[in-house]
Amino acid sequence: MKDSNPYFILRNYKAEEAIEEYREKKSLEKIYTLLDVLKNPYENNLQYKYYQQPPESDYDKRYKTFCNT
Amino acid sequence: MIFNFDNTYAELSSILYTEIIPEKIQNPQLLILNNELLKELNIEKSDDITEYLCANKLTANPIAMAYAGHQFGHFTMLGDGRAVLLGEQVTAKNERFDIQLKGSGITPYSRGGDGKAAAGSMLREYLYSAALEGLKINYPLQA
Repeated sequence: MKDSNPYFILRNYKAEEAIEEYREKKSLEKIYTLLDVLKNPYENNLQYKYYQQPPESDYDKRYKTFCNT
Repeated sequence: MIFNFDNTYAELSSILYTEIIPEKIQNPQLLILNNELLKELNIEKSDDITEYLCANKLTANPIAMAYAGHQFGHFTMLGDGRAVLLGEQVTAKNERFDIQLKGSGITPYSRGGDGKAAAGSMLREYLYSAALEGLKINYPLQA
């Protein structure tokens, strides 16, 4: 069970936040934090609880990506 | 030599690929490097690794691969449109992995665009690759 049900997934809004920080400030800090969150998704790391939060309710309706971007 | 290449693809008929020397990059900057992946692939982390990872320095002739397939319901001639195969890395375990550059400029198989890739988009791909790796789902990894 534990091996099939991750505590953490890469949420699109979290990815965009980290990419945005790189674009605006040329900082990779959020990228590195996110990479650390994603390293052990099957462990309940309370320190990263914030990364489990869903986005605002209409976020995914507005979110668009394209293949290979 | 940071790579241990044995390029079997380049031994195929030349209609299946085009040799490409990517345009040189002035002052290339390394944003992020997957050290674990380097180790797994037995790629040496030399001081000038950035030069190799952007093809300013080469250890073999890079090639853009030609291929074809069904896309959007039609049979279409395709090919690496903004990528080149730097070489086929042979690991200590004798496994083979293609090392490919993405966003290295146009090739004869490009359709529109300049063949480059924006850093933000590449960071997004890196993040999603890392997510799949963490979830233990097999996927091409990004260095």
